[in-house]
Amino acid sequence: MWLITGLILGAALLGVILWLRGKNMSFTWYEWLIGIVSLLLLLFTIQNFAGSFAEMEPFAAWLFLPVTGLPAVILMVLVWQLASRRQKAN
Amino acid sequence: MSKFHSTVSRRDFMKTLGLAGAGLGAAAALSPVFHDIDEVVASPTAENKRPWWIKNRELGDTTLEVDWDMMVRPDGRVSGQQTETQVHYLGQEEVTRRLSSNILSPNIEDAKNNKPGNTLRDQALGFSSIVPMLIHPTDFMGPQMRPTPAMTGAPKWQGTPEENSRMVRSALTFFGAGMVGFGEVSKQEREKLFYTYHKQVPNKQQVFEDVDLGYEDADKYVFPNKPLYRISMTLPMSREMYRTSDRSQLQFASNVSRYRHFSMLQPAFQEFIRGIGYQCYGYPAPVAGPMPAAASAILSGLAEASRNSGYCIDPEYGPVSGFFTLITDLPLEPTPPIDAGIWRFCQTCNKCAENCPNQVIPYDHEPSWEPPTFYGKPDIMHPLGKRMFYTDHVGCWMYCFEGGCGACMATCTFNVNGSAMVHDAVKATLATTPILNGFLWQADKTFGYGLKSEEEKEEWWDLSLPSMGWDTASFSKHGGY
Repeated sequence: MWLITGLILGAALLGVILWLRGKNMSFTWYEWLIGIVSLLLLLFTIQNFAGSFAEMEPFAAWLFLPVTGLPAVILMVLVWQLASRRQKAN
Repeated sequence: MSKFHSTVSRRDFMKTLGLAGAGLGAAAALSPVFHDIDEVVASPTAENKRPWWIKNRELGDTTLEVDWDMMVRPDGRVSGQQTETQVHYLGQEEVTRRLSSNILSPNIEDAKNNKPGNTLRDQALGFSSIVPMLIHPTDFMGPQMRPTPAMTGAPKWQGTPEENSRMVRSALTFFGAGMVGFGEVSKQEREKLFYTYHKQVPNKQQVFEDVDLGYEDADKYVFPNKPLYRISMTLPMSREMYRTSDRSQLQFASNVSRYRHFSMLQPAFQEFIRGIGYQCYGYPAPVAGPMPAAASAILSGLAEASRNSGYCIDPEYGPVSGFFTLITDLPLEPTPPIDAGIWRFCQTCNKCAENCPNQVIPYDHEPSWEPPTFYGKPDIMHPLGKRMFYTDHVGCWMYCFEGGCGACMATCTFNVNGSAMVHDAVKATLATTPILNGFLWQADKTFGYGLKSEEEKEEWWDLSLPSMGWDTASFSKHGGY
């Protein structure tokens, strides 16, 4: 699972960096910080989602999506919005 | 250079390959390589490694507060599992009524109704799980089949206590144990922890005499008055089967599996110790040893005390473990008690008490030196001298024996499997940040961990689970398991 997660993550990061370069955008330090936190939270969610199913705890698995997955997505959207609004303002 | 081609030149590639090869060679040269068992034993890496959040304490300094002055040697004949104690509290008539039908007798009604956890196949499995213990009785002195070095003229094994500890741990793990810890049997322990009368052979005393080799006669088990060491070990059991509690023969099959394993382990280990020139004093019956196994496990750092005074909790595997204690004259290096935040957590968490079908586990949040009264009579079940919570062991045992239980261990916040990383995060958090204990046990309830529903119980038969019901690689650190 981690191999596939790593491949997807690597591809996604590369995509983000290329997209940023293409748009001539950059992140501030706190956007990077929030981004890394949201990424770690997303990885935590994915691991526990899959791990809980492996443990035959489907209720716990699904509960990880709103409890840790949703905040991860919200933080990612926040970073995107912060960066794009700053870009527009400039 | 074209962007469609590799930017690594042949020269760079070969250089990198060379560096990688050199790196691998250096790593191989620095890695421990064992040529024979002597090297394994002598290597410090043969020790069990534990997670960083399990802290060692000073020898004798358990997280459960103990007042050795208050303690007296426990009498094995006076516990909640003994009929005499049950009669003392409940009266002969009630005890006879409640024991008339028990977990070992066929329940025809449940078999006819295919009651989950008590179907015909569940009942057959529960009983069969205990059978090897019944036909392989264990012995205080061991089988004594192998000639000792003194008989053959071979030199007796001589190792440092540290080497001996690693050797014993390896042997016991091979024979089926989980975690293994050690301690020297102090004068204090001889006078305060060893049962006066054995718990399972109630007509026999346990005594210390000035002899070189212990022995057993019709009235007593004799330990020699010389340096002795205790070996404490866990025999983990199936968590999945426990989760079918209560009133489940699947849980019962798991519950007694530790005795089945121990009845194989003990004679093998006794012969091993005899073969190297020492003596191991074992259980005369697989269900009870020389002292309360939980006390030894806590002193040896395998576990911490828990809210239910009937068991203790191993930080790695949780509460679904059996604990056993063997005594030997082979010098061993003591392992210290631990602090993994478990005992502190139990003072907040009430999950086992809430899920106890017989409501015999206290809800208090402050442990006490003073036991309560049970059934209007003073407590004779718990030896004094520990600041703890007092479970009604008569009520607990009788309910278990009637139809099986174990709901407390099954639902315990520490009874979790190992796939989801959240469990390690929770254990590390509660070990270091007790202020979150209340939140963490509420979260455990919210996430639905614990007992299976009636509909889910029989699913066990369709699962693919580890041999013996538990992951024997749980504690292994070598070999890539």
